[in-house]
Amino acid sequence: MVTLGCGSAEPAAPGPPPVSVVRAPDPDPGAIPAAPQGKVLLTITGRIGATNDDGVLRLDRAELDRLGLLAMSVNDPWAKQRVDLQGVWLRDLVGLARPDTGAATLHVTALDDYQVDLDLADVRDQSILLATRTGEGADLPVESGGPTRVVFADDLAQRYSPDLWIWNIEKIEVR
Amino acid sequence: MTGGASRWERWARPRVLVAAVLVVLVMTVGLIGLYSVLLDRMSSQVEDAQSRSANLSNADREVLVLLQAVTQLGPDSDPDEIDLHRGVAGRQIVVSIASFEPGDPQVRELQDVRSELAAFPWDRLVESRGRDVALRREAIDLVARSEERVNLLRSEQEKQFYAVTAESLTANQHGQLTLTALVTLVLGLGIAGITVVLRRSRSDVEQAFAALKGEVDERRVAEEALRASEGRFRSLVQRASDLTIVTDDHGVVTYVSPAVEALVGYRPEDFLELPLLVHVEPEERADVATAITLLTDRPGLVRTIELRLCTADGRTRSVEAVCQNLIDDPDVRGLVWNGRDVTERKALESELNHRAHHDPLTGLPNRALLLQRLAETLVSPRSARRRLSVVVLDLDGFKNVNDTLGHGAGDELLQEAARRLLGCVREGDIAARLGGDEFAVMICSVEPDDALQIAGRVVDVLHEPFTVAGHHLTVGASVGIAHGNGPGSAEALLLDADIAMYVAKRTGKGRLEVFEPEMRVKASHRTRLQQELARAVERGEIEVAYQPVIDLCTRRPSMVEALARWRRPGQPAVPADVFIALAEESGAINKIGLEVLRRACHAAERWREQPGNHDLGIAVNVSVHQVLAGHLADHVVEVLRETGLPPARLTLEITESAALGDSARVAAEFARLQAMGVCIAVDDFGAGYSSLGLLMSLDVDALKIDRSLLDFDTTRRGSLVMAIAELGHTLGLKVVAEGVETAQHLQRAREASCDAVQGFFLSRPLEEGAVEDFLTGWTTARMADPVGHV
Repeated sequence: MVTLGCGSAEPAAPGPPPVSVVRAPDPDPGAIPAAPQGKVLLTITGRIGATNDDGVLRLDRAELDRLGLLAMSVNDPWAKQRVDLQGVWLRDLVGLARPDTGAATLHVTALDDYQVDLDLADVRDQSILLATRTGEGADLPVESGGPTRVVFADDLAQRYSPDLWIWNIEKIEVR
Repeated sequence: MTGGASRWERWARPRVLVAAVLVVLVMTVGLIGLYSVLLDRMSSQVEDAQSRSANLSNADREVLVLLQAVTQLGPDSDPDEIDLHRGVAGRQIVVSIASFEPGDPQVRELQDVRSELAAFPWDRLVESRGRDVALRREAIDLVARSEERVNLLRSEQEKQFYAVTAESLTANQHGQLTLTALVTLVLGLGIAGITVVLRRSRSDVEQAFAALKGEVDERRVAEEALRASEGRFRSLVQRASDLTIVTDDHGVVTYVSPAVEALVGYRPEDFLELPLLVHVEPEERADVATAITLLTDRPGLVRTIELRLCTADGRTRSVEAVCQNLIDDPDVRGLVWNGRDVTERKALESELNHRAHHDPLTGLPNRALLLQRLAETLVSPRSARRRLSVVVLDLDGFKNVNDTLGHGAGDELLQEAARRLLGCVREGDIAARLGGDEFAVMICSVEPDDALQIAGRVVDVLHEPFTVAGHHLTVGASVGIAHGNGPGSAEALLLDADIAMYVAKRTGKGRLEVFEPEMRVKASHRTRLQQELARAVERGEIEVAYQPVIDLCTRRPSMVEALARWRRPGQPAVPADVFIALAEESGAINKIGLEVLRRACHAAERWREQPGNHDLGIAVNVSVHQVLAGHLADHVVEVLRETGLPPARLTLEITESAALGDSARVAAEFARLQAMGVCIAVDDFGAGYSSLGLLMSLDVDALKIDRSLLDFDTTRRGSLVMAIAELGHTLGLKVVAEGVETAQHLQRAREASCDAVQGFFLSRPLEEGAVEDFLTGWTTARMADPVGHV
C-alpha cells in the first residue's frame, strides 16, 4: 500500500490535542436514539444493546448531532493535505449503541466495500474522530469522504496505519 | 642531457603511478557511494510507481461503477446513487492525484478529468431519470472517456514500474562491472608501482605500462560484454509484437497468425474454430472469459490483458495482449488480439520478487513477505483469522557463537536452525527469518492448541545440541506467541509476539510465553523508561549514593559501597534494580558503570586524604554485561591511573547470575583484575540460583550475604547465615552481611562470625558530602563502643 508521506514529522509538543467544542452534547446522552426521520447516515449492527429498527441502530443527522460536535484539523495521509472537519468521538458513538461486554472489534465497511477492523479498546482509549461535517459545518460531501469518515489526530497518526483511515463509511458492525 | 632526463624519469614515474593509484582509489570510493544512492533512489521509485498504479486502478474501478450506474439509470433507480458513485470516484481521483508529485503531467490530466466530471449537469440527468436521451448519451460519453483516460494513466504507471525495475537491474550490473574494473586498475597500478620502485629499471617501467595497457584492454572487453548483455536484456523485455488473434463475439478463434507456432508449438489450424479459452491455462480461464465478455459488450473498447497459453509440450507461455473490440468493423467483426511473449519478463519479475521477499542465507521468507501473508490472512473471513497465530523466536546465546567462533559459524548455526524450524511447521504454515537471530512462524491452526504444540516443538528442537564448525553447542530459543483473534494489523500482531518473546527471554530464556494485552502496556512503559534513562545518562543525571560498611573486628568503617541512583526531576525515583535491569537491556549499563566507577574512586581518594581514613576502601557494583562487554579491566586501569587510588582499595561487586558461571571470558577478566590487586566480591549471595556452583567455578575474594537471609522467620533462625559464613571462611573469603536493619540482625551477623556488616541500622546510603561527616562522627562514637552495645 501507499506509505505515509506527510512531510517532516516533527515531534509534537506535549499538550491537549487541537480539538475545540462546537456544540455540547444533549443532556441525556444515554437515551436510545429515536427511529430515523431523515436520511440514514450510518447503520450500526452486531453486538449492540440499543437498536431502533429491526435489530439495528440507524442514525440520521439529528440523532448524530445529539452527541455534540467537535472541530479538529487533521493531516489526510491519502489526499496529502490538511483538512478541517467536525464530528463526534467514535467512542461516544459506540457508547450510544451499548455494545455488550464481549464485543472487541468495530468492523467498518465503506461504500466501495473497503473494510477495516478497529480495536474496540483503542476506540475507547484513544481520541479517534468520526467526522460527520466539513470544517464549516456543512454535510460532508462523498467526494471528501462523506457521509462519515474515521480520522486520527496528528499525535495518533504516527501510531495507526494510514489504512485505518476509512472514508465513505456505510456501516459499522460491532463484533 | 640524457642522464638528466633519465634521473627525472626515475624520480617522477613512481610518483606519477602513486598519484594514479590514489586518483583511481578515490574514484572507486566515489562510485560506490554514487551507486548506493542511485539504487536507493530506484527502489523508492519502484515503490512509488507501484502505489500509484494501485491508486489509479481503484479510481478506474470506481469510474467504471459510475459508468454502470449512469447506463442503468431508469425511472426506478435510486436518485442518490449517481451522486454517491460520483463522490466515491472523485475521492479516489483525489487520492490518485496526491500520489504524484505536484508538477507531474498526470496531475494535470487527472485534475482535468475531475473538473470535467464536476462540470456536468448531474442534477438535470438525475431529475430526468435518464429520459433525456441526449443528456444521458452525453453523460455516458463523458464517463466512458474519463474511464479511458484514467485507465491509460494506470497502464502507463504499470509500464513505468516495469521500466524502473529493469533500469535498476541494469544499473546494478553496470555498477558491479565498473567497480570490478576500477579495483583491477588499482591492483594493476599498485603492482606496476612496486615493480618500478624495486627495480628502477627502464624496461620494468615499460613492462608495468604494458601490464597496465593489458588491464585497460581487459576493461574494454568487460565493457563490451556488458553492452552485449544489455542488448540481450532489452531484446527480452522489448520483443516486438508478433502474435495476432481474431475471435468472434463468442470468443471463437477466426484467425491466428503463423507466429503462434513458434510460441506454443501448435499449428494455427489447431486454434481455428475453437474457443480461445481452450488454449488458456485452466486457472486463468474464468478471468479471461470475464474480460472477453466485458470487451464484447462495448464496441471500440481497448484493453490490455495478460494471459498464459498452454504449449504443445505441456508448459505455459505468458502473453500480454492488447485487445480491441472491432465487432462493428465490417472487415473484422470480432475482437483483435495483438499479443507479445512476456514469459521471460514474467520470470524476471518473479525472480526479483523472490529476491525481495527471501532471506539469502537461509532461503526462508523474510519479514516483508511474512507481513504480506499475515495481512492477507487478517483481511480474510473472521473464521480464518481466529485460527491465525504468530510465533517469534530468538536464539539465546547466538551472539556468543558469532563472537567466539566467527561469523561463518554463526551463519552455519542460523542455517541449521532454519532447517529445524522447517521440520516443525506443517504445510500452509510459514517459517520466516526476521533478521539477525530472530525467526517467526505464521501458523494457521485447525485445533486451538495446534499453535502451542508447534511452538513447544520449536523450543525442543532448538534446544538440542548443534554441531557447528566442529564444535558442539547448545543454544536454545526464547519463544513468544500471539494469536490473531483480535483486530489490528500484521505489524501489530508480529509486535505482540515479539513482546511476548522478550518477556520469555527476560524471565529466564528457553521458554515459551503467550502474549497478553498487559504485556504491551508494560513493554511500552519499559520502552519509555529506557528512552528517559538514555537521556538521563547523557545529561549526567545518574547520581551516586554511598553506604558505609563496618568491620566487626576493628569496629570502624572499613569500606563504602557506591550505589547508583536515578532521580527524575518531579517524578518518583526509579528503584535501582528496575533501572539497572533496563540499562542492561538497552546497553546503557556500560556508560553508567564507568561513570559510577570514576566518581566513586575520585570520592574515595578524597576521603582517604583525611586523617584516620587512609585504609578506607570503596566497593563498586558491576554488571555481568559490563564484564562480557570486555572493557571492564581497561576501564578500571584507566580510572585508577586517573584518581591515584591503590588497586587494593577497590572492590568490584558482581551479582550472581546464571551468565556468570559458564563463561571463560568472565573468569579471564576477573583474573586480570585480581592480578592488579583489585578485589572481587559476589553480591546478594544466596538469593539467586547456582550459588554454590558459582563459588566452585570462580575465584573471588569476598561474599556479601543477601539481606533476605538475615530474616529470622524465613531462614531457620538465622542458621543459613551461619552456614554460609562458615562456608565463606572455609574457602578463605571475607564475609559481609547486608541488610542489617535491627539490633537483632546485627547480633545474628556477629554470632555467624561475619567479618563486616552493612545496613540501615548502621547507616543509610549517604550523599557524597555527608560521608565525611559520618566518618568523622564515627571516630568519636567508636570510643563509646557503638557496635558492642547490643
